[in-house]
Amino acid sequence: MDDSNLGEKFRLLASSVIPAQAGIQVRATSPTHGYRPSPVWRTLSATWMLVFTGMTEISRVVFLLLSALLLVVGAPAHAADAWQSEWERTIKAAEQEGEFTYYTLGEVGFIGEFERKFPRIKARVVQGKGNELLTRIMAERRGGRFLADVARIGNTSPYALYQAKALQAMPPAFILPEVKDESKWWSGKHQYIDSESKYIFVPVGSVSVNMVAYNSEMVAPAELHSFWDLLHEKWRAKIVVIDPRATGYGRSGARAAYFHPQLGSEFLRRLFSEQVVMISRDYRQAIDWLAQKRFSVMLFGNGDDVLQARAQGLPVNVVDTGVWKEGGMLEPGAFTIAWADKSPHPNASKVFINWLLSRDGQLAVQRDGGINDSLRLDISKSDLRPMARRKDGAKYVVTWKEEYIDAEPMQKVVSQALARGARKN
Amino acid sequence: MAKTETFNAPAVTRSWLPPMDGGTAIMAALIGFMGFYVLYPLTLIVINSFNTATIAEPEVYGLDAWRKAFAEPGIWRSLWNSIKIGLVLQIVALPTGIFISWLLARTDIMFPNALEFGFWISFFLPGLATTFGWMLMLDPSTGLINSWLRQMPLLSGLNFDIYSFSGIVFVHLVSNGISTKVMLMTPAFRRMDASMEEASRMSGASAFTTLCRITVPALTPVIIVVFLLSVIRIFSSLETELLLGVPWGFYVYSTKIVDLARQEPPLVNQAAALGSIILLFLAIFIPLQRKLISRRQFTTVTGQFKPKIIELGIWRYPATAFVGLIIFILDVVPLLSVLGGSFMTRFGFFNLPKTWTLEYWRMALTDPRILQGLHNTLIVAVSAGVVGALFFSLIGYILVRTKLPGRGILDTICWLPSAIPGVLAGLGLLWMFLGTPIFRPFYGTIVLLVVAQVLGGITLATQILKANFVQLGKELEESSRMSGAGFWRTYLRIVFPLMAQTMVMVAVIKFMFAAQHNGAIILLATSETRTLSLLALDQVAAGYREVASITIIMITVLTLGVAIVARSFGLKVGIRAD
Repeated sequence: MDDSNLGEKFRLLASSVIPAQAGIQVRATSPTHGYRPSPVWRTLSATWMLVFTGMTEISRVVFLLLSALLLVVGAPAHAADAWQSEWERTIKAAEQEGEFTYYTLGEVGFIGEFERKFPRIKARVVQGKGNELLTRIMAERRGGRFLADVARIGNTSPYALYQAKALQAMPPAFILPEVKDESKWWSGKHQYIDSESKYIFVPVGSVSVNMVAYNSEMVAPAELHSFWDLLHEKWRAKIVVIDPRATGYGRSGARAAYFHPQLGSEFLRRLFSEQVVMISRDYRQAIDWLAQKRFSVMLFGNGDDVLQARAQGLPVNVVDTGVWKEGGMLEPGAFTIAWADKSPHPNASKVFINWLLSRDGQLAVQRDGGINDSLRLDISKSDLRPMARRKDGAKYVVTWKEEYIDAEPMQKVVSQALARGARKN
Repeated sequence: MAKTETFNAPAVTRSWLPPMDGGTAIMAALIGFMGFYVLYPLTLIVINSFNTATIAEPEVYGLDAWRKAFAEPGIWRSLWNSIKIGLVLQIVALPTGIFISWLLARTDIMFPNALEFGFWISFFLPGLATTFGWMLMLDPSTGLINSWLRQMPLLSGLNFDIYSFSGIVFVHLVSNGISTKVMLMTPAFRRMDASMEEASRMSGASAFTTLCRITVPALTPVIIVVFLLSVIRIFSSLETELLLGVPWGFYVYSTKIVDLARQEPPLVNQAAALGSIILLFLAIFIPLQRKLISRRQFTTVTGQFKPKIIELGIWRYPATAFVGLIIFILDVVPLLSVLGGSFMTRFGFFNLPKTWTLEYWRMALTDPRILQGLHNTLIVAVSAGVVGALFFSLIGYILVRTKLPGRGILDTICWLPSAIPGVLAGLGLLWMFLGTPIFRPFYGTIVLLVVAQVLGGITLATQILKANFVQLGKELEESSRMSGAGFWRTYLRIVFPLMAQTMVMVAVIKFMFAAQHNGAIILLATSETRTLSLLALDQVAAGYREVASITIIMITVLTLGVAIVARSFGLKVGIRAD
């Protein structure tokens, strides 16, 4: 394990969520209402009017044509000027707001980079598990307190906010052309969980490393080519599975298998009723069992922890299921972005959302943990662990579809299969 | 310290209790105050159990959540499993705890204070550390003790499996099954008047017969309370069963409740419906406890208090060795698990290329959030300890010493929070704080964390204080009254010193609960108000489990530091056998 690197990452994570000690300085600015042309554009218009009034008929026609040509050529410059002035106005307004509240799970190291870039906008971070944060946001709203601005609370929890109509559409927040330009993003469009493609933005799509892990002294990766191979008798009582009936990677992994067109309920039913699998709810316990050779294979665990254990010298590794028959699975890694309705700091939220989805922001997200492969295509992927990167031409199943949200059918299949297995064995 | 002060009886005696009207007013205020803090969130939880809508929908009321909750597969088996663990655990832990408390407080065992503190250490150590430590020792295939046994010629057939019912009971026993009882009962044993035991011995009874026939019956209130608290506590136990029970399909009731509350989206209504069953247990326990305690006179501290100790003679050394061995089992494995594990690259793996590392300590100590977390923890835990001990001692005193109407209601209110698992209690508090105008301005500040943690552990604090007040003879206070002292003077000059050890213990327990437990505050904190225990959770969530374990060590050291200071203070001001 590279200790120094781990320490550096931790410091970054830790420093990012410390509120700035200095108070927020509010810059006195006069608010600008509506569109105001830039000085250059105003000068050009005045000159044009002056010249046009003093011309002959033919000269006017020629001049009009030339002007039209100039307008076509100059329009992008004006558009650039428009987004820039909107961006500047938003930043100023955001600085007046001074802060925004970010409800989040998982890593927050990249927040430090945002605060360094926008030192007058403080990120007030509320951390927790996705379901806890969902409960808190809904309770606050029902209590008349609209405190959340931006939320990163997983894949399922923001969908409940969407159903509760507690979110506002994301596209109106986009100001930077590099964010708006969908051609810069994977499959040429912005990705959303909701079918309206407006509310729960998915900026990350990593190849899942959470599906299958193994003891490298007991299993040769070449032995396995398909999920169905795991149902072979030789793996009977050799598999530990993270419980799909509880929230977390166990549920996400089993849900991905359940909705996979080539796996489905049949795979889960046979896995849990025939293979005498061991169930655990503790990722660490399952990885340690794998390393101690109590089990050969682990399913639906925390792949990042497995890779960390491997770096520490344990004989464990994750399977790149992208090369398996069923292909790999792309997952957001619980990294989705939603903008709360009635956001108390709309401008600071917009600045944060734009920064987060910009090249700089997405690079920061990728650096923070090295497992979140941004769906932006125009940034370097060198900070990512190779296994988490999408490969060109590879076949992937996308796991952030709206119809995948409901885990209950999968959990029912698992419970029934386990009960059947217990009776049989 | 226990000697009775001599007062000169004044010509006119003042009433030492507030006048009836004032007393009723105090009781009404206490019921109103406690009722609001306890019943309001509880009512919100119960109301929510009838809400059949999902978290995203407007409320619709019905019985669906109840039907679904109790139709959960294995729900009744899990309830039975919880009861089974609770009963088997108490059958072993209660007599062991009584016996050790008696040895420490009533006999001339060697190093009684040091040995007693050994149980405090065990009580303050995180339960998870004990579970991990014993998993390392007793895993059926890789456990260190099992590996050692396999190499021994005559013992090779022995193989302990920690992933079993007995394994779960054993871990509960060594985590705080015994230590809680010793910690709570030793002060009560210490305060017991020796004259009754002396009479028994004079009548020819042995020390053991005296213990069974005189000492234990005299301490019935404390023993019943400790027993009930332990039984109720088993309904909130979770981590041990998750690690040791789930792998072989053994589920307990708390697992089911927490599962529902932590679903995405959370099924709070169903979790609340299941939680209500624990209230049913309380409905049986509370009247039973009141009946048992009120049936007899349990006064053991009187004006003629005689705190003499029993000489063990030849048994002094084996007794010391026995208690020392128990402490070794209780403390050494979790201490090594916590401390040793923090220096290991990966806990439990001794054959890695780099087995030991200081990196995690460096990371923990240079974390800029640590000072802020420490600051917040001290504010919350000190407030909870001091305010909690003083406030709840007043409640305990009023419940035991007055005949004011409404004592049963107040007592019941104090029991109720023990029935609510932390995950639901936190939610109830969140709803209460958001729904009460007086609290709204403080939402997001540390004030509400303090309020939440002061009120945490109400049951434990009031019941322990109450059980100890029952032991206190009235004549000391009556002497005070005859000498002209009023209610408050009697309380501060007579009751307070006599109860000092118990109050110090309650303050330390509340400090520990506030510093270590975060169920009540997890939904209330922000990055500015985060305590060390919440920081540890954030560190785990970010994948820094080892660093989180060091944060937990810091909390434990902090708590033990407070315990040492408080204990030395308590021993100085409390009743001593010398």
